[in-house]
Amino acid sequence: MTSPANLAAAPQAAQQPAALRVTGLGKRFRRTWALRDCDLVVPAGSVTALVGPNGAGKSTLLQLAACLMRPTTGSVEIFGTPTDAIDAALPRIAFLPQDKAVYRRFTVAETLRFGRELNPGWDDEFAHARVAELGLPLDQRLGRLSGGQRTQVALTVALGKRPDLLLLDEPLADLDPVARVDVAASLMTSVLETGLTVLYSSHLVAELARACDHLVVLNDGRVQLSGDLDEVISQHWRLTGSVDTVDEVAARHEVVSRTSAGRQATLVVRAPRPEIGAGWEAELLGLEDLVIALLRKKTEH
Amino acid sequence: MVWITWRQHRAFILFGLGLFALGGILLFWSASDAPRYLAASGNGPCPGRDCAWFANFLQGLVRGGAGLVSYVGPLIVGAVLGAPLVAREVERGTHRVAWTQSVSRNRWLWTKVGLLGLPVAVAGLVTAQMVAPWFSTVKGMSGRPFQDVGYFNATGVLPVAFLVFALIVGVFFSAAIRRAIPAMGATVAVLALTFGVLTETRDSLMKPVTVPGREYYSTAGSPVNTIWVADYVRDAAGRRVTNTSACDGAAVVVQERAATWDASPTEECYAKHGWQNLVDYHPADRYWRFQLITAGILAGLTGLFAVGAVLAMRRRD
Repeated sequence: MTSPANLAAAPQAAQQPAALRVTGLGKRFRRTWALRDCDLVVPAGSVTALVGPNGAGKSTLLQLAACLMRPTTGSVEIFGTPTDAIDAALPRIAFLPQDKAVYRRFTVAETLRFGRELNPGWDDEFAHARVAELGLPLDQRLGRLSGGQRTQVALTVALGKRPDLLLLDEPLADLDPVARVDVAASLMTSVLETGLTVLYSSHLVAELARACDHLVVLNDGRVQLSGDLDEVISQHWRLTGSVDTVDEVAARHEVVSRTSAGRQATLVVRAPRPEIGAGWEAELLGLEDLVIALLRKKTEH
Repeated sequence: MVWITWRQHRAFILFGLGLFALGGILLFWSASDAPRYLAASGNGPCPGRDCAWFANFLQGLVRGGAGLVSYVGPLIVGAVLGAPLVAREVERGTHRVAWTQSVSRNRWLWTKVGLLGLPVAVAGLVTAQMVAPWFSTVKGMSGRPFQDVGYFNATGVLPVAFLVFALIVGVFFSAAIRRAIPAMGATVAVLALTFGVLTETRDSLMKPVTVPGREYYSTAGSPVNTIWVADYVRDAAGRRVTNTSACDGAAVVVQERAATWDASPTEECYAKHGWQNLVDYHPADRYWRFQLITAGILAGLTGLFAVGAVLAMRRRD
């Protein structure tokens, strides 16, 4: 088992304030470990995507960060405050659960009031302006809104809290394509305006490239990779060449995955610049191929 | 939080107020109507019904009313208000919203419990104040108020103690089980068990006073406000006489007619055998001591369940 690649240089990571720092994190449900030995830093000000297949532990990680769960091992810190200090940690985060649970009998106005009553830092003006801008009827019960509208209301409550770290669990899942684009766009606008840190999970790889600047790949409860998106992409290569020389090439690199078809061998490697000989070709992997390669690698173990 | 508590629980609050008003009206109606009805019919034939049936009906109303106030009220508060308080949020997933705002889950819960518990406690106090005069109005038909556990539990400080206890038991199971229906079941079971045990053991909370039956039954007025525990016969050596059939033929014991007690043929017969009729009872002035002991037991249990609920709420999984 290779250790997870943390591409952010260590000294730099220490200086940079971490919105979320996860150390030696493990979470066990009865006998099964949902997360194990996770180390992770989400830099302040980043928009970080948490990627992985269903059951990888994404929701568990987000709920641990949202103070909804307690780690079995290790620790979770929000801007240096451990989530055990719940009164100090809670005001700094906002969480949008996967099922977008809301009080369905509350009207939009009542939902905003709910946010105001429970959050000293609540920005009522912003929340009402956002709801008005989205054209959401204040006196409509949430149960009668569309899925996209409901997500927007839940998102408004999360943003109105004025958190420093916004945790979104599959925010775009179960939305139709139009609503998906709308929600993503209005979320990114709010993020740009406020400069808050966002950590969101998704199993839809294609959506990621536009939205995030950091990437965390989670598989089978372990962090496969985490780092700055551009760095991650610029360091993962696909090498193709003859099966006769593949061992020689593989030995010079950190191999992520290895396949062969007939006489042709394909390697996915992690390297600043690949060192290849004659008869070999190298090309950068796209984000999507990279994530797939990383997730496939796990299943080969 | 005041607004949120009101918004989420207004249906129950209004339902509770309605029930309360209905109970008050029933009490007022029965108290004002029953004596008038009896006075009108006097000792003569009761109109349309036979008198035994009517007397039984009133007895039932008295017992039932007291029982309703002292048991059903707490059961409703525990099962309908307390048990779903946390569980329903978890079942609907809204706890992930409620517990990730700026207020910790225990503060969220106990603010709610405080805001809901206060009117519940006030309802208990008012209940006691409503039941007491109602009972004194109809007590001529009812027997012994201190003796009757239902009435006893519906007066003084006990309605408050029972209601608050029920609420906290509900909250505990809500936080511990986190599913509404099982929490309701557990709440009802624990409340029924507690009420049952308290009812069954109440008379042995203190050592009863023992007096000769003659003295007990002839003290004017005292049988009405005492807890009668036991009536038995002892011989000259102080041994319990289990077989008093020797005096069976003498006469029926006429307990209610205090004036004729001394002259009772039974008593004369007992004296001939060297026996003595004795009564164990709790005098009327023990009413408040019994109230406070019972309330103290309930308060202690309430505290235990509250601590359990705080710990159960801390569980994060």
